[in-house]
Amino acid sequence: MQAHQRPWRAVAVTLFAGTLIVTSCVEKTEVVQSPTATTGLASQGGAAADGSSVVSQFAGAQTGFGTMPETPTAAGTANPIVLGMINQENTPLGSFPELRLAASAAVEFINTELGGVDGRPIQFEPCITTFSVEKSQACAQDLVQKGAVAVTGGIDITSNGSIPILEQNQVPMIGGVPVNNDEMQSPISFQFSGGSPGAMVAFADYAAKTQGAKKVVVIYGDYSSIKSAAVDYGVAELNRLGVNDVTPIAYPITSTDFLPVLTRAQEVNPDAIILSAADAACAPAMKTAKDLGITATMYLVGACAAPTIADEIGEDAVAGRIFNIEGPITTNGDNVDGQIYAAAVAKYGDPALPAASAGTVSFRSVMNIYGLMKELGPDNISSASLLAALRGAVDRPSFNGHPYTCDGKQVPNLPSLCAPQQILVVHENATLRQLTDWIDVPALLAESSH
Amino acid sequence: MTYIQYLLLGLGSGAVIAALALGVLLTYRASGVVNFAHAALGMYLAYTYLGLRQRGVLLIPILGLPGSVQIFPSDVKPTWATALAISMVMAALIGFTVYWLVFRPLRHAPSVAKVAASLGLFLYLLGITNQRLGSQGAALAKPKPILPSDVIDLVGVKVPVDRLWLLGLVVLATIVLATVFRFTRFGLATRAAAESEKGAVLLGISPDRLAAVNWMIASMLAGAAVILIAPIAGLDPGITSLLIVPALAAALLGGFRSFTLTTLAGLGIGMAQSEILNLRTSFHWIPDLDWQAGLPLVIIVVIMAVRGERIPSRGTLRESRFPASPTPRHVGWWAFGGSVVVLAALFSLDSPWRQGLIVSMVTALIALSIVLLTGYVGQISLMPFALAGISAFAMIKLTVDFGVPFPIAPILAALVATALGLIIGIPAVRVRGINLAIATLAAATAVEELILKWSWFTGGLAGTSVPRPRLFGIDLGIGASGSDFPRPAFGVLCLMVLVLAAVAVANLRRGSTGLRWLAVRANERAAAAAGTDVRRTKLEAFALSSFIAGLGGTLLAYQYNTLSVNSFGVFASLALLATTYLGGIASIAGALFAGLIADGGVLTAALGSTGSGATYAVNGLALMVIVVVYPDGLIAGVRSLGRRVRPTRDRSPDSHGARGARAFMVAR
Repeated sequence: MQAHQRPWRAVAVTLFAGTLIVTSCVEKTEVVQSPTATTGLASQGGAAADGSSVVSQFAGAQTGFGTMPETPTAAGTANPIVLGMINQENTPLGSFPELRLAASAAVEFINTELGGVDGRPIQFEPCITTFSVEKSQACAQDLVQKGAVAVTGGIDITSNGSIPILEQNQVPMIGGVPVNNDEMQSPISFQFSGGSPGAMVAFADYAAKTQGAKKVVVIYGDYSSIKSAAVDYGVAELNRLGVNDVTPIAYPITSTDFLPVLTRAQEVNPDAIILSAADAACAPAMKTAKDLGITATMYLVGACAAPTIADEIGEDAVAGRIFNIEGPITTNGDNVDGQIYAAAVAKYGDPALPAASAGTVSFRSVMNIYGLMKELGPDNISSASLLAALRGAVDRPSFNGHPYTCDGKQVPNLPSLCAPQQILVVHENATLRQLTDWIDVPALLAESSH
Repeated sequence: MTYIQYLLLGLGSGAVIAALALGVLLTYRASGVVNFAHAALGMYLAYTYLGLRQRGVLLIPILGLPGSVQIFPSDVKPTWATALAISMVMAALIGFTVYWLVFRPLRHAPSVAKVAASLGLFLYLLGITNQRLGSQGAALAKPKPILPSDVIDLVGVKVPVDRLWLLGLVVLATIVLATVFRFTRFGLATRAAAESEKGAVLLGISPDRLAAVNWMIASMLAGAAVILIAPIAGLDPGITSLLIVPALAAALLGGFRSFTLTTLAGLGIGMAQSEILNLRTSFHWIPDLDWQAGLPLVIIVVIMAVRGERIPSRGTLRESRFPASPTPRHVGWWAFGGSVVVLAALFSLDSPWRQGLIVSMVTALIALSIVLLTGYVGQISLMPFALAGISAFAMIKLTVDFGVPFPIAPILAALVATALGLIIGIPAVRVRGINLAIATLAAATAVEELILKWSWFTGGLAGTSVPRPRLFGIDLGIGASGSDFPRPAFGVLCLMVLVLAAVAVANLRRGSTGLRWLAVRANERAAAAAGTDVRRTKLEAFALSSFIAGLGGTLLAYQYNTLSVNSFGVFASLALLATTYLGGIASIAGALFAGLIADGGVLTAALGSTGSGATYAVNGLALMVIVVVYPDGLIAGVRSLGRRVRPTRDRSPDSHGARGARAFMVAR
């Protein structure tokens, strides 16, 4: 009869012991809330959390969406312009609310302080998709029904549901984080980013030309768009630049240990290792590389530059690693757009929205759409006019990013990428130092096609 | 570097898999539950640990309560030991609560009910984690690793010692668990309860309490495992939760019985993956597919097919009965009436409703394949979407490359899915119950990695554009601009296919075939003794179910316009099994219900397209509650309520199908 009583006693003792440990083993430390970074990096300086308007802080400044007005003006309420957004949230396979929150903050900033589009307010219609093609399809159709003149991203891993609907209705998909082929190839999609292909080309260029690497290993997650970026753009660009000793190594995205992958890379004795990985792989990969004593220069996507990762694995595991970003670092006060972003997010952003996050991308997208709408004028805003304006865009200023050109030729086979230019930064002395100016990815790719 | 050295390098990866597999096995031995949420539970606990370490807060896993409570002053950060201890206490509490409230009431329920409940727990944990993490997502800071990370030289290979520590801890945990289960009263009692609950009760052992304690220990193992492996494997709500697939494979290879064999299997899978990486980068003639993820799973399916009956199942744990399988009645009238209503809706309702109806019909068709195979024949298959994917891409290949016209192309494509379903169904002849579920999960993952990632077949990164279906010059495609989308003509096509399939399945269920299905479902040995060819019955069901899933895949292809592999992942199959169970897995109405509540279906059209932050958590919670309260599904529950409120004569003497099956066996 007592067989079942002993485990209860043992568990009770364990729980009690655990409680004792809790009360006795604490250390006094500073709790540092580190900002995170995914694609763009911005400081929190210039935040207008004190209630003063963002416009008054930057009155008359030249910005990515035009000249900042002298005084804040609220938009009217009549005749709103519907701007849709499709974003993936609340799913087991990725949730990105920060993109929606930042886009919403941008719209509120526009309507509250910039007077909307010459008085017409922007009506923001976000639609949450849940890693479901059907839901993405329903979102696109719903936004078409609501009369959206354009749809902005967002991350939508199942965009093969939404893009065909938008194509059918000739509604442009503008901005966001392009993760799939659909938003990188569709004629109605326009992305102010180079996606993974842009990053791979920039890494290859720097490794071959500046670093002088002769042997390179390209490691990539075995997922179609990541693989294509690594092989079709990264490896191809290295080969074009005369680096023929390139070893591609694929790993499953559910990989449980980078040790075999990086050991294989180390066997080649490379000068450079280019790693195309999702966020979750950043820390294990860099830490394992440090443990193995890999001396080759490592190139990683901007998501891996998050300060939280350095906190986790230690500065020495991150030191010397090179990352790509798609906007200038906001530290010296020159980057007005970065400061406006920080101020607007502080004033209009959800308290849960980190100032530096992938939200920079969706904020940029909305401000660029706003710049286009301003130029078209309040009475000439439609899906057709936006499509025409985008298709004619050559070196148009982009908010907190490189000017964009949507001629469909910036990246071969990926006509939707309008601004694939990249900046590389290096982690040094616990901070990021800008390593390059804008790398002209389209020019590099144009050379390779000749 | 030698092949042996690469095998050694895989030990760390194998230890990660083994660490999770041990907890899966413990849960199964204690309560007969294959906990698909085991890795998700570990993931939640790892984030609990992070919350403590980073901010001194304790995440609260209960929906509706505040996300966290500050249990340490803001300037105090607990040490790793303290945070780990608190996380373990939380693990024990969660393990106890989950067992007592969810799995204890299901202890005599059929395997599929437990699978559905554990999927509910999986969804709940993912939903609650996403909600608690908020906009910080996976980028939340992670504290420094617990295990040391020096590097040593092992047989000429540099190995960070954290892998060896992890390996050592896993081996230690294996020895402790094996010893406890072999030599202590607690372990012997747990084994006794697993072998014979009745016998255990007669000896004064409380299987419930033993199971609860084991669940608490398993939860702590899950938490400790993920906390320790996070610096090696990374931590992400989705990816970490899906580590359950290799962990289940290891437990399966261990026969769901031996801790030692399970650990060896986990280590073996990790080592095999490492060696495959070596081979793949050494020999360039090897096709460029994700062999690391796919090949070990193929091997498992083959081993299962070969070993078959040698794999012990927890067959001694009594299963009360399968969910009720009411005999379909007035099939013609239901089909006619339903068709009239849907046709009227397709031609009168506006775009979102039409879209919802189409999504619901296509989902219901694929769910029908689950009803047939799992509901009627008792074979739990977790690969309907993998088969749908094969069929969808095959249809496009046939149409685009070989010029096969509609409707021949979709029918041939469905036959391709049928052939694959039959191949994968071969293990079903030799294994049953939860073992088959895991085998099909492994097969579905292998199909995803090895076939759906084959660029020749699926069009690679460019994806594949789907040609419009046309019959006698009539455009049956979905595409149109503005509010004309989706075209009703496509809805009519979906309706015709769904009605034909549903009527065919209903008629088979009413006839002698259906009785054979139920006989096999009720008791294979008895069915065999009564002269039923169990092997043939199972394979027939696999073939028909695969054909229906294949037809569903072709409709999905026409619906999506462009196809990508993402549409056919394992997770979609898991979610559909769960929602079909919600409605009633052994009735056609259950499939229709799964269609109605599908993402993007009629329910979405009714509620609008925006979701709340807690959608997944609410869905998971609802699934667990319904499985516990209405183990036969919601529709059966509503019927039962109706009978209670309005007691009338029982118009359905054969409502559970069991009597019919018994009569069939007697007649034979």
